[in-house]
Amino acid sequence: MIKCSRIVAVVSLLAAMSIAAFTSAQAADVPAGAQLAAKQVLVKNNSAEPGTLDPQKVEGVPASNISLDLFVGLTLEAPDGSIVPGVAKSWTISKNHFVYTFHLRKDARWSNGKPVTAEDFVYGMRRGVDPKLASAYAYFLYPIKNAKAINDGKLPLKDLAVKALDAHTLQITLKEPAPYFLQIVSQPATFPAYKPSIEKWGNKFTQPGHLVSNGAYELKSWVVNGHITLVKNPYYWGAKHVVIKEVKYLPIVDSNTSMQMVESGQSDWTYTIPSSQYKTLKAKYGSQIVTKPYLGLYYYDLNMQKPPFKGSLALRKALSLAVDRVALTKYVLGQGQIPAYNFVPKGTAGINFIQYGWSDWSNSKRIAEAQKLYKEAGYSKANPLKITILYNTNADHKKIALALASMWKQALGVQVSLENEEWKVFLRDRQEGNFVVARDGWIGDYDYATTFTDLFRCGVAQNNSHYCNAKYDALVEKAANSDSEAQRVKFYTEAERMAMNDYPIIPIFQYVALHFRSKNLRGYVGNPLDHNHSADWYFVKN
Amino acid sequence: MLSYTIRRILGAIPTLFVLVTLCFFMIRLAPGGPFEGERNLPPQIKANLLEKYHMDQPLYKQYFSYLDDLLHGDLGPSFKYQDWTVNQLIAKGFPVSLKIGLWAMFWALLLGLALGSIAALRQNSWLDYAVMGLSMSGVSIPNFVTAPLMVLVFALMLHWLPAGGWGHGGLYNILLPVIALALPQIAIIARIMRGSMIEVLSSNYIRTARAKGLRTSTIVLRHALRPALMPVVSYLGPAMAAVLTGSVVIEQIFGLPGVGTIFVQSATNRDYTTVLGLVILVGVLVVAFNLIVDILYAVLDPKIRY
Repeated sequence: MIKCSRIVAVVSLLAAMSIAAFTSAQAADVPAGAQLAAKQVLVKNNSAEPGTLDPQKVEGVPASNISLDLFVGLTLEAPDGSIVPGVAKSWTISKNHFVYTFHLRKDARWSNGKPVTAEDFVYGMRRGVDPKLASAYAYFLYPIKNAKAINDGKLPLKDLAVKALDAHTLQITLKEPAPYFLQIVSQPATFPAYKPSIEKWGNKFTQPGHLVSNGAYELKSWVVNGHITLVKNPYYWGAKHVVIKEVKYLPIVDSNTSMQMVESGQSDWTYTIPSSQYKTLKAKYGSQIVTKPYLGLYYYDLNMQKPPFKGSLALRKALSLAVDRVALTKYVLGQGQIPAYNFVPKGTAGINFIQYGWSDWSNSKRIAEAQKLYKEAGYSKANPLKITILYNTNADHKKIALALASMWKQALGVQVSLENEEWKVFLRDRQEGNFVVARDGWIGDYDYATTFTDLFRCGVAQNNSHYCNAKYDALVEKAANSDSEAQRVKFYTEAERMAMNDYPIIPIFQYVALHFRSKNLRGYVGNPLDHNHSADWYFVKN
Repeated sequence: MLSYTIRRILGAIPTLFVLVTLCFFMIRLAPGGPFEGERNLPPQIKANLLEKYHMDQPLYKQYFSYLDDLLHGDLGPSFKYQDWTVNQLIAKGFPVSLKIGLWAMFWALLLGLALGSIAALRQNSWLDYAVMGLSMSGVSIPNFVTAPLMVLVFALMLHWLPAGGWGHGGLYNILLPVIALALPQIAIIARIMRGSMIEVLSSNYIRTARAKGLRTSTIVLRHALRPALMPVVSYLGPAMAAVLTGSVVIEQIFGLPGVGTIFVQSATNRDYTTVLGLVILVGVLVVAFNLIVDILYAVLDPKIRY
């Protein structure tokens, strides 16, 4: 058996072993001497109204942000994203990495004072895979043995390999070693669920007065499209380290309104920054504008099922080479995005960071190579390639499409037309393969290679370019079934290199998280998934 | 009058039925569905969702099941706001839109009628030109321009009012949205009122009244105002329904929790039940306000009797 302390040491950075880690709770790490403000009410602009507050059904960032304040899973994320104990104070992992045994803390309480038990986790995870609940995030639990079969309606709920050995011991058996599993159990789909409330209120159990949570906060009020207010949960085991007493989430969709609200002092945090105002705001507010790279890739799908890209590696490579990513990120976007010459973003765990060999070539050398390949593919100035870039209607996507069209035209003479579509029409066309080149993007679900390498497996729902290479699939499979981390890293890196060399997509840039924080708000560290807990923050005096 | 009102209400039922039917099938023709997003769902998960919301059944069955629920006053669950039913969403959102809309229409009527009448009485004077100039600006400058400008001045520069948000729905929070919503209505009502007042003031019976030596105020308030109001009243029917069911733009700009915001998000998210519920709400309001307008005609114009 491998002791959890060793795993924690591997997964988390030593630098993160602050109060949060020692107390294993969401808690503000207030430095000695810091003078706290008298009023500790945090107002966060959260972009959109959450679809649901049911942790097992939570999808989308706005709902996830609130859920991470309301609930705590078996593990939790420290401010820097490293994994620390949550409701589970310790755990052991079997030698073959299949069986996880979690030992729950005895002082974990629901917001009504009742103890949080292993049965609450069993009930929560069973709900998550119940086909009747129809959670879009059920697949998050698929690493657990039988989870997929249950969700497919082929096995009964009781067959889920999550067992309460006693009130404070939980055992989970996986279908394959999943090194990222400790991250999975820090996320909403795996949170415990309070059965009496769900059985009493049914679909209305998430409403104020009904929702029972086990995190640093509990739900106080909810005005749809108005605000969601959370207050400190007195029964939370780390309550004495939670400084922010009240958190108000505002579903402000318009990023300009959101910015105006922080500028006029009505809120303390924005979901994002209007891209057109970034430079002005950065000059005006300096470090209050927070920019952090995170695990997300913006890319273009090349349709591998249809000409001109089907069977033409030279053409796909030529187009990727001809994109000047530095100019795009620096001059067109200019918000700190990182040029991407890779499929798996820099900083992702479980894989070595690799880039195309030509990433450090000069512009002229890249273009010369692109022109050679373009000619090899049978195109020339007299016989130019004619393609359409498909994107959903949005000013930023348009800017990027225009920039790429112009780069391809200048470097190769490609005739590019742009086609924008309404969101749902675009999604349908992209998923059904009705495109030549389409905008795409992916934010990692967790910090591990598979959240990106899975995108390129044959027949996977998110594989929009319809790339399919049996050798790639075999490598990813081999990595998943390896019993050492070194082997996994080796195979995932090899797999990424293989997919990159097939050029099914054009990686463009790695996303950055952009936020505005009010002057006296402290505690934000930033992490690769941009998950932030209000309990880690605090206000200092002016 | 009572039998007329009852007949009109009964006549509205087939209208609403046609509206629901058309809308039910039209929204299904729009590409994409409620469960599609940036993340493509694995087929079985999508199947589970379709089954849960009975969307795996033939369309005609879904339609009859919807009608059955509707007759029982149940507008169904929302696909986008999964923790709420459409009835709950309307119950929470409509009072917000109603509050802003009623205040906006109150000011629009008060100021619009006054300005329009003054302009008509001082026809071709500097006052008339000033009112009509302002009114033209009010009509032609859309509120997605005036609203951010007001935010810039009153929230960001002067710090008098909030830039957005509902708070507890007090005067502090609703003042800017109400003004932004009322401005174009004031302009439109002032223009209609001016035109109709000028027409009434040049009619024979007003000339007679003037010849009899009545004071201008008596002529305007007792004899001209009521007939001059007729075109304004005609405009008010659809305008009230539109304003009360939420100004999409204003609610988005100020981040208000009204039905306008829900309407837009439901349409873009293909939240079929919520869109239908709100279409029904708008339909009922249009029918109701048109009925009120027709009744008002009879009150204002003795020549009209039902």
